[in-house]
Amino acid sequence: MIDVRILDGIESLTVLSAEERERLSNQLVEVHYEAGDVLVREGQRSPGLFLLLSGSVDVSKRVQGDEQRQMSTDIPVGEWFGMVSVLDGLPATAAVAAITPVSVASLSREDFLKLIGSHDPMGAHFLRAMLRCLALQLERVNAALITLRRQVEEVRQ
Amino acid sequence: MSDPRRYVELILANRIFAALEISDAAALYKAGELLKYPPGHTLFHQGDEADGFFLILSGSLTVIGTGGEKLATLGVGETVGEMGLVMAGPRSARVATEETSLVWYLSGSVFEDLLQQGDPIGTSILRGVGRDMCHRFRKVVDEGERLTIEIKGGARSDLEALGWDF
Repeated sequence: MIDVRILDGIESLTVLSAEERERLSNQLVEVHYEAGDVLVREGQRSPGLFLLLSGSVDVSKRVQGDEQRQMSTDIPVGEWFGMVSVLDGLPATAAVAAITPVSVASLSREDFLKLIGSHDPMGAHFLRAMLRCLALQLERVNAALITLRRQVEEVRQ
Repeated sequence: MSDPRRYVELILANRIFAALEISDAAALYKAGELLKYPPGHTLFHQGDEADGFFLILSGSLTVIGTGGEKLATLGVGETVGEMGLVMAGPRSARVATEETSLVWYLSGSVFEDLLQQGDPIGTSILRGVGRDMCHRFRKVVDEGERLTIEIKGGARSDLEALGWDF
C-alpha cells in the first residue's frame, strides 16, 4: 500500500472520490528500482500499471528491431505508463528503464483486471482515469505523427 | 420499420460492445433511444459539451471540419462520440446526417448511472473504448516507426532531434 496523500496530489486521480483514492492506495504497491533496471520490456507484456513517483525513466523503442537504432522519450513524475499493454494484453510497444534511482506505485495486471472486473464503481472510475491518460498520450503521438508526415513530404519532394 | 433484434446485432457487431452478452446488449439497447433524422441534420456541433454517443442503425453520418470540409463518412454499425464517455469536454468536430438516418443514442447520464451502480455493462463499454484506443495507439506508433526510418535511416541522435514522442 502507499500513502494516500501521494495519490491526492496526482492530477489524473482527482476524478476519484477521496474514499476511492483511499481504497486504491491499499491496492498499489510502492516499488524502488536502481538506475539501469528495466521496468517494462519491449515485446513482452507489461507486468502492470506504473505511476512514476520519483526519479527518471527512459522510454525507448527499437527501430526495425535494431538495438542501436532507437526512438526515445521520457515520462514526467506523476504520469502513468504500461497501460496500452495492460489494456489490450499485447506486447509493450517500448521498453521503460530507470536512469536514476526510481520509485513507482504499481498495480499488477492481475490486480488491475480483478479491480475493473469487480462490481465496484471505483474499478470503473479508475479504468476511466487510465483511459483519460491514454487519450492524452494518443493526442501526443498523433501530433508527433502529423509532424513526421510533413517531414516525409519534404524529404520526398 | 423498427427491428430491435437487428439493432441489438448491430450493437454487438461493433467492437466497443463485442464483449457483451446478448442479454446485456438487449438491456443496453433498451436503455438508449432511437432517433430518426432527415438529411443534413446536425447531431452535435464542434465545441458542444460531449453527452453520450451514437451508433448508426441505417443511413450515414458525416464528420465535418471547421471549414465545412468533410473529414469522414460513417456508415451502419459505426459509432460516433464515444470518446465523450472517457473525457468530458467539447466535441472535436460537427457531425451531421448525410441522408435520412436512424441512430441509437445512449445519453451520458444513462452511462454514468451504469458506472455508478457498478454495472459490468458500463465497465465493458469502457474496456471496449479502451481497446479501440490501444489499437489506434499501436497504429500510430507503427506508422511513426516507418516514417522515421524513411526520413533519417534511424540514427539515434537524428531520431531524438525529430522529437518523436511516442
